Amino acid sequence: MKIKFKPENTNKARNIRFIVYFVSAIVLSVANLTVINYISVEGLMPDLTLILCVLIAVREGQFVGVFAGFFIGLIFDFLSPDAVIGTGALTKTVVGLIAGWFHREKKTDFIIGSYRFLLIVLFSSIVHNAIYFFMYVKSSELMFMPFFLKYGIAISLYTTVFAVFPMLLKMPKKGYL
Amino acid sequence: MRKFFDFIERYKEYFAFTALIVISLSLISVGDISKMGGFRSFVIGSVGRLQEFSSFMPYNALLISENRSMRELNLENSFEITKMRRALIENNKLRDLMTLKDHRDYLYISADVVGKSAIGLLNFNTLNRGKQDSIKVGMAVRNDLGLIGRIVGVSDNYSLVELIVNKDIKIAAKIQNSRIDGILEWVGGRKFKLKNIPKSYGVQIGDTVLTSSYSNKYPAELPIGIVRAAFERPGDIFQRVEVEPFAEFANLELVFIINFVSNPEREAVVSDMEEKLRIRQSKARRRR
Repeated sequence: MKIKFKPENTNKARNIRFIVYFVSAIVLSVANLTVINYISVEGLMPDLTLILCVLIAVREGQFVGVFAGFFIGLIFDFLSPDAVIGTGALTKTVVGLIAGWFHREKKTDFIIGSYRFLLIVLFSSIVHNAIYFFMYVKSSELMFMPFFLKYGIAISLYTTVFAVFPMLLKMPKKGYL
Repeated sequence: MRKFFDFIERYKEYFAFTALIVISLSLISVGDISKMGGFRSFVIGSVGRLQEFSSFMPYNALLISENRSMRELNLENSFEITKMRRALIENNKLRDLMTLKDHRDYLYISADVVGKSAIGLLNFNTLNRGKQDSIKVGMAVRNDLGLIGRIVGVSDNYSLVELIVNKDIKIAAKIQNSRIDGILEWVGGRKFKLKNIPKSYGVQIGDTVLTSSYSNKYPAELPIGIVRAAFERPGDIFQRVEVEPFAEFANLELVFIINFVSNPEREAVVSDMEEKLRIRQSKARRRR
């Protein structure tokens, strides 16, 4: 019996995956700044780059996840017209670390294709927004908790709704839901 | 030595995490490096083009043109109403016999909102007017209803307006009827707080709030919003005044850039003093 060559484990396949991640990060950052605005609810928009960051961390593990988070955040900071460079990098690095905890070798597709992925996105997003809003209100008279509960949770839930799409793509036909 | 490398290898995720967090914090402490050189202008131009390209999606061309003419008409009416109200108050107080300053009319440049960006809760709109239309950083922006924000970045054909629904914005404002001045701050949603209004001054619900002549960023007499609530709190010498803005920030389409830039010398003195006060406050806080 012939052993089938499995491209996923080769360095070349890995490099191609990383290029795809890089291109996706740029496309999603631009989309977040342009077209996603049209589906904003009360000015709140889903964070597509966060979903990508979680996806990479769950697939590749914590080590790659923190670097992916940092660079995705940095790309978004650079493309955002008036962002303070570093805020996105910091918050997305934390997301990479958190999501990386849920990485399980050879079970990545199972995790991404199940409701667990949504819970990981929700949890990561809540932590991400907590850090972001803490920095946001620090220099003002705004109260952290009311702002975070009003906007942070809403953004996290909206982002989680969009995490359904990668979940559905990876979900087996007879799913685990 | 081997043990040391094993230790690094074992906890490499956390070492990498710590290093990246330190780099991020260093970048934040450097500040807004995107303001350097022409990079910011390039980003505004590129994102503006993309936003304009994608702006065809939800809009109906017919409604846009109808909205445009309606809003232009509204703007004219708004000027008239503001002028009439001002004249009435001034007549009532017989101040027209005194040395009243002549309120200048500014040149307005209409612009379409071609893109909206939100970085967290900082809201920005991209306008299809830029340096070629004589737009400069610092110009105020309004629509037919009231004040919208201020230009914070310009490229050749696009400009970026920072909306006043932003926690960093503080506007010197006054109540139209009583002429009391205060500081207006956004507190979330469609709610602003007018600060520094003493309890002894009567504030009526429904009073119009305008930009003050004390403002070094916005021209005076621009309508901002309406007083929705005013109440006193025990132990506080000031009353809490809540203001609802006239403008609907969620669906801005046509806006007007006011060809007015505040005196740079005046602005430099104010920002210099603000920076000194900020440093003094942070030192005092550290000492405590």
